[in-house]
Amino acid sequence: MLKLLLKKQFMEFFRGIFHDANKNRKRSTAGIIGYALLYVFLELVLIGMFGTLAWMMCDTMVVLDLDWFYFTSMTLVAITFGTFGSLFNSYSTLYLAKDNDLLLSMPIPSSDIILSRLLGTYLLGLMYSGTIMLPTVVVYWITAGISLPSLIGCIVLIFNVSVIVLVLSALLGWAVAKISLHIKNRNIILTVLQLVFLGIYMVVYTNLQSIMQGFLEKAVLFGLFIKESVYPLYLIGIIGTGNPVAILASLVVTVVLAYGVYALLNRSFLSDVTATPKTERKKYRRRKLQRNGIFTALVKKEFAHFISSPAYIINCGLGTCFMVVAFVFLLIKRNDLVTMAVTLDKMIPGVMAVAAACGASALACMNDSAAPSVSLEGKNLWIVKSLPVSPLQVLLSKAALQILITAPFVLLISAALVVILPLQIIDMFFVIFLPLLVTVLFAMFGLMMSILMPNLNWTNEIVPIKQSMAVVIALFGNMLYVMGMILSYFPLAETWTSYAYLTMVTVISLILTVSILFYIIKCAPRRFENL
Amino acid sequence: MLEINGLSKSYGSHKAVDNLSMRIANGEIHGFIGHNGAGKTTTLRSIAGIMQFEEGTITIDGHSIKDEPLACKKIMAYIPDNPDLYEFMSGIQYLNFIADIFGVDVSTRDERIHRYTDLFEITNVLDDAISSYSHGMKQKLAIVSAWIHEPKLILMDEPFVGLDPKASHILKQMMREFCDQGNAILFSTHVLEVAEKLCDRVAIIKDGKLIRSGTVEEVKGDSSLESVFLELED
Repeated sequence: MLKLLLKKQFMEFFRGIFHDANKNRKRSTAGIIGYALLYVFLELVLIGMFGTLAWMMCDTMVVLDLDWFYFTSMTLVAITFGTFGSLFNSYSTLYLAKDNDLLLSMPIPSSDIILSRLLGTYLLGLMYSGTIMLPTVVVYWITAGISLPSLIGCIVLIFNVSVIVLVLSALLGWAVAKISLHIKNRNIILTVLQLVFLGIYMVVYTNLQSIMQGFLEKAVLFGLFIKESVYPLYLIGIIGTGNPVAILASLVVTVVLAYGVYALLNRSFLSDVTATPKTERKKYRRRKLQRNGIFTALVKKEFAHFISSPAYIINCGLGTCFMVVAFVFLLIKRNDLVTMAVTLDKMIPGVMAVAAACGASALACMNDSAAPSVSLEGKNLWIVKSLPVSPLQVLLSKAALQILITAPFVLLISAALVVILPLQIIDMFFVIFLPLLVTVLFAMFGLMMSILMPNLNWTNEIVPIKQSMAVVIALFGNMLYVMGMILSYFPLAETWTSYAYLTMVTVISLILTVSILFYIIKCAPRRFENL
Repeated sequence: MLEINGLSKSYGSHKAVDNLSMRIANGEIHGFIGHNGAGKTTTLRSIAGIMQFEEGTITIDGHSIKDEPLACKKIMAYIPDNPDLYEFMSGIQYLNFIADIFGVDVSTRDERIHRYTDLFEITNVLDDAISSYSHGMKQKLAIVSAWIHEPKLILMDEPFVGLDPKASHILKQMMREFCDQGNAILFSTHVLEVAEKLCDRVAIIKDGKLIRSGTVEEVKGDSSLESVFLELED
């Protein structure tokens, strides 16, 4: 039974790679290889990022004879990243899967359902934690040399970390399921809860460099403290160096932990999944209905979908939350910002305007609601296809949502920057206009990805929102574009004025936006009709 | 109202609908009968404009579904066999959305929504999320959404599945009244007694091919529709 369920879970997990939703048939071998290579490439980019972090730490730690502390630190980063990466994925996968009713109606032990579902969470956690642990061990072997005990230790460490990530995210999922049964405004509370977790994560992440610097400066002291006061962390560290006792002990603890969480989930899974959440029946009150135009109705529909799903809000509307925080930050820290910007502008002429325009654009790049939007139609696709609306209207309404939840906040940030910073008039124009243009570009790009790589057959909406190739490419593409916008200025700063550079970026962005829009108008409707 | 000529649709090498031709006149309730996988849903989805087809033509009130899909969809409503509606909306939001798309004015939509939801006794749950509705309630909502913009042609795939006896009775009355006003309905069903009593004409489809069509009397002759169907299936 478990084997069958695992097969089903695998099929769902890898469907995006093997199945071409546009042609509704198996992807060609070349297509599969292409897709797999794309995944590998994106994974390598992330591995490269964390590899740099590992390089920063490893040299110093090994010289100080604190190899174990290197492993402890990187393991903690991996557990944090992995757990937050798969945060709420376990909740959606375990408790909100659309095929729960079907599976529970069959003579399948709930323990098998849990195990098969946890596999998906495990793979995701393994991907996230492996992104850090893999460069961690490779960098260590290059720096300190490879030995058999260390080889075994590192393999065990990677395994342990992936299981601990699973244990933590499963526990969080279980806790969220319990909480959500007893609260009325689940969506709001879950969204806030996720934002709080994410806020903590972002604070840690953005201060990682200084935290690491502090670590490295006081590594010996920290090492002593951990060894004496938090012994389990020391044990985790010496697994990587190949300590046999630590390897065995950690394996036992990991297996016991994993079994404990599995037993906990198994005990209440049936009652949690079949329980009726606390909902308030509303007594219908007849009221005057509001009439909207076709496009407004479609955009409102998209917006209703967006605000109905905490996962959708958190994963695809994060930029909006950041922009609100950034706006408050700008108001509070405006004097410091002006001082820093003026100083930098003296060192690199024009950088203030470029950084302001690109900074506001960077915040916009974190919203990608258009990218999973076609996939999210799922089984409801028949509705818009049977209505007298053109495919183009449907598609543009999806891009409009992204613009709607991004542009006003981008404008707010841009306006604040224009007021706070001593910019020239021409630069002010670019600080306002360029982020807005980039917002439209990202919405169009996300929409294009959505129609190029749709996945309409999912049992859990976390799949199109978080695990689809369309979302990954849209998000990475946006980030790379913004990074390119900022970094390209430095080699040109001496010869180009800021407004000449910003004019060039604006023209490129405009050309890209128009080109993608042209594709959407010309080719996307046909693809949509064929879905 | 509806004219299908030489409709063919394949899934890979399997021909789901094979050179199907039929005509539905104004005022007719047309039943579409066939075994599971015979091609009924594929035909209905092709007419509704939500599935591409390789060969043939479909015209609705003189408009080709391939060349003028929007003109066709403006005068048509489709109710699928499984009412997957927007679960993130409430019932009233969904009906208002449909009315917006079809440009139904406020007072008319208000009157129609309440007339039909009162009939199906779902008015008091209109503010609840569709996700909390039972299958039957979703089916009723889908039916109301089809009626509120007063189309000329309604396509229904197994419309009676999930409806309670009272709602089935009301739906039959609505269908009759709708066609008596000069409109047309094409619906698929496995309930042959319903087809026999309700339909003006029936079409029997087997392996994607139309094997018999005509008025109920012409098709069944002296026996029942069930016996004719079973005979043709063998």
